[in-house]
Amino acid sequence: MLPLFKRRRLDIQHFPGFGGFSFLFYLYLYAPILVLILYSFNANQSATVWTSFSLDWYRAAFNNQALRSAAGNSLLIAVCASVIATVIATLAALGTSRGARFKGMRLSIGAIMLPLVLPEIVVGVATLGLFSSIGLSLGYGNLIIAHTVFCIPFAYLPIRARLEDMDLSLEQAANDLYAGPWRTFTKVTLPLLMPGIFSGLMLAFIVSLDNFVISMMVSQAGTTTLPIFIFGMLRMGVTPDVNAVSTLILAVSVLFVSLSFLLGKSRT
Amino acid sequence: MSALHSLQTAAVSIRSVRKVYGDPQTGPVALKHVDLDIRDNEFFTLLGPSGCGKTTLLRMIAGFEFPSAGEILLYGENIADRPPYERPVNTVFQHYALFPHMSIAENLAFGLESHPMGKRLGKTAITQRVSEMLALVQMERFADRRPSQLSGGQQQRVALARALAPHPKVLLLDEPLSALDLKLRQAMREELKSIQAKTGITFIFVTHDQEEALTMSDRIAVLAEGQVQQVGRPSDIYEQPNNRFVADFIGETNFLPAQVETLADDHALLRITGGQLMRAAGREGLHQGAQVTLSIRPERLQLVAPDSPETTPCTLVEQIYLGTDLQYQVSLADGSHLRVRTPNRAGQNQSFVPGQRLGLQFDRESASVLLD
Amino acid sequence: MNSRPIAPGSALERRRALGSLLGVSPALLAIGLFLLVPILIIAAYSLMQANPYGGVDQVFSSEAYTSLLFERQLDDSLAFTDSYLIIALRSVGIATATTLITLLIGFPVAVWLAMQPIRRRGLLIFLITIPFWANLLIRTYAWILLLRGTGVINNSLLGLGLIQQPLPLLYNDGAVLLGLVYTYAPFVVLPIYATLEKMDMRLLEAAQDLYAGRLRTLRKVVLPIARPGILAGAILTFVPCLGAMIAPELLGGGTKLMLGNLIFRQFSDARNWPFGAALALVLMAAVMLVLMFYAMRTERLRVAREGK
Repeated sequence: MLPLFKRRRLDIQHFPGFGGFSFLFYLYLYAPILVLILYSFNANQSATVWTSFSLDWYRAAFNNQALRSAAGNSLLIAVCASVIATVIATLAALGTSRGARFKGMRLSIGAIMLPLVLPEIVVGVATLGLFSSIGLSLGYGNLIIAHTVFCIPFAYLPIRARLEDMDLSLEQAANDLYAGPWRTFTKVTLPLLMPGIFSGLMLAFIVSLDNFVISMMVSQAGTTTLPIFIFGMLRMGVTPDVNAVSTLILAVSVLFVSLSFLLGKSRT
Repeated sequence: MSALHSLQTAAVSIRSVRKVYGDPQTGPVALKHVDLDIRDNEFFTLLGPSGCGKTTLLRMIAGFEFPSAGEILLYGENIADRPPYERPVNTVFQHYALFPHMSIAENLAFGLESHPMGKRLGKTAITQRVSEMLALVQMERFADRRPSQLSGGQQQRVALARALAPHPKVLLLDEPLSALDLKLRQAMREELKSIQAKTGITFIFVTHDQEEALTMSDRIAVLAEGQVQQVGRPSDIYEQPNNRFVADFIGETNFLPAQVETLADDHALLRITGGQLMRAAGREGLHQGAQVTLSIRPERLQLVAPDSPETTPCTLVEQIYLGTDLQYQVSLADGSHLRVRTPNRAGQNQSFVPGQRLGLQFDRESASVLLD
Repeated sequence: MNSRPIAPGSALERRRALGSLLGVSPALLAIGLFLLVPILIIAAYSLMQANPYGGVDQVFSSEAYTSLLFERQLDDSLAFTDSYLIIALRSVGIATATTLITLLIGFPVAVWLAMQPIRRRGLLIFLITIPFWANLLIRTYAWILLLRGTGVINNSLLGLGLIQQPLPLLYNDGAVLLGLVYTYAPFVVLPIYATLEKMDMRLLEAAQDLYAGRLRTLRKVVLPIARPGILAGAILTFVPCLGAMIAPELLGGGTKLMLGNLIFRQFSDARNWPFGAALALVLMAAVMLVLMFYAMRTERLRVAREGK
């Protein structure tokens, strides 16, 4: 048998150095996040050197009334926007992947992708322009509308992917077994699509929760979201409770992405 | 037999069906012009190479596609414009299409519950029908499993039971055995055939596998390039192929040029290269002196000593060992090559050397005249 | 009667097409009403006069576009100014640099990923996507913890005695670049990986069999196959970088502006909505140009590959 180093040298699928480089890449991706998490548990006030483990900053964050209300706002907006966006995206995905082609279908898909393609700042400016020109001032409503629009493509993509993956013959089999369009949809298409819909919902939820640029442009007094609040904290100088809040938000995001990932993968 | 059948209404009648995708003038033509009558209670096979239109035809009977022109009659009633869920026919899909989120029992019950009749039937009757069907395909033990927990052969059985459960008038099978391995495929052939006999339902079976078609079918329609080439019993198709395509597609064959010598009521005598006379069934459009092509199966030819009477001299080109058979390739005086096949019997193997001069003997009645 | 031309499917087909259109219409309505119409509105805003208290006065003015390149002197004459041009060029420069660096980093990582055993790949890909979904603001802020004067890097170097004074790592173009590369590297790895994942690994064996070494295999087999992914990754990086706002604000210290910040300021501190609207339209036009270029290139690649 060949010694290991010789086998690897002969293995065409092994490009020397790429493994080490990739390891460094993962380090690069996670180093700042790990440092942030570490600091959030640091007892030291100055947030620069590690002294001892402490949950003080989490306590401080929980006790911060303004922070809690910002978190509440963010949650409310994210829940509303992601649910509405997912409903709209599900219908759109069904329209573009099932049923018959219609004129302007490619253009429609392009339009659905538009919020994803345009720079956030442009979307933010445009939305602000709309609300100010018609004098719309619904508080949360403004933010929910803005968030719904940019959540649509994020919800649409996993749902459409799931639909395209789905074997068309399953729906044909249902048709063949006397199920009309509605029964086929409720008994076959929808249950099989569910993981994709959940996946889309999760992604839309995180994207809404994380959004800063557009929220910043559109939000009015009283509807400060969590990212806007954090940005304000950062402007006033780095304090350790930012680390605690940030770690919590990261945890929520990771949780939702993991859920989305697992659901998207599950083959019922 | 035929007199009785002609009085009956056909189970499925395909009348002048044409299918063009996209633009009716310029789009690709899947079916040119198809007329077929499939009898009640028959195991009917649509056989042809991929792209011949057999699956399109089956999908039009199921209702997944609609003919561009023509009619599809189910027991005399035109169903061409009905959606699949309003047609009393069921399909066994190529990759089974079992609902992955339902148990086997739920899969079987689906058609019964969806059917308007299902509501009148009630829960207990449906449950009973489901177990009946599970018993038919010997899958009782698997009622609560999910499709993903079954082997390919088991899924195949479930797909069959699911399609049979709502008592379809016609069962459509779209290459249902193609995803199984060889041993299983052979076992399933027999099972399908016996289930068809037991249920008495008309089966329309699509395949590209000639062996499948020959062993299972009551009748076969051979399709190529969107047209029916020949319809008949397996033995008709094999022994009396209509044309070059059918002769070549089903089994192996030799093509021999021949001239019509005498025409009788029901047969013709033809002279082939080398001077031998062959007898073949008569055909429309034959006339004395006409140049035609004969098809002769390799197993109907024998190699004998060169000086035997009534033989055509030939030279052995090569000898191939096939296990069950031995195959020889020989060349005739005019340079044409023929294949000869003999069963591989112990102690009777003729051993020749390439280049050896031999005599070729024809079964006088084993040739068929091809129309083109 | 037999050959009566009928097309029974067509009515059903029309009904299904109508259903599709109905399904898509809420999405189109939402995006039309709340994104396309708003873009028209800001196009109108860009042609109006600024209201010093924010918003616009509905009087026609081309001032916003004039002030992209010209400054109004005290005597009302126009003089060429390059201050905004420089910001635009810096944006393009930083976006280009970010794209090139992410490609250089992303390609080997994607190749490595594609060569991993399938069972391990799912997790490795997932690990790359996680930061991508984590809050951008927070991820960028985390770099401050590493880069600032009393941050992890400087503290470590000081502790090791390698430097005497903290290095000025934060608040410069380098820091902005670092943050942007960090943000967009997954955008490059994933599409390249997606093209390589479908690659038949026997191609590598065939190349080796035909006497190609690793480097030649990489250049002549892997790179051409990865080309659509490389192009997609480049676009996915370049386009958002052009309008980036968070990295320049946090890591650049908000002094060296990019287009994103410049636009934002017109709506906050500067209160010059028409100018901000004009800038946003310019940015959008630039993005559209890049996307059109992308569409044309992918079409060319497809034609070159499939020959039609």
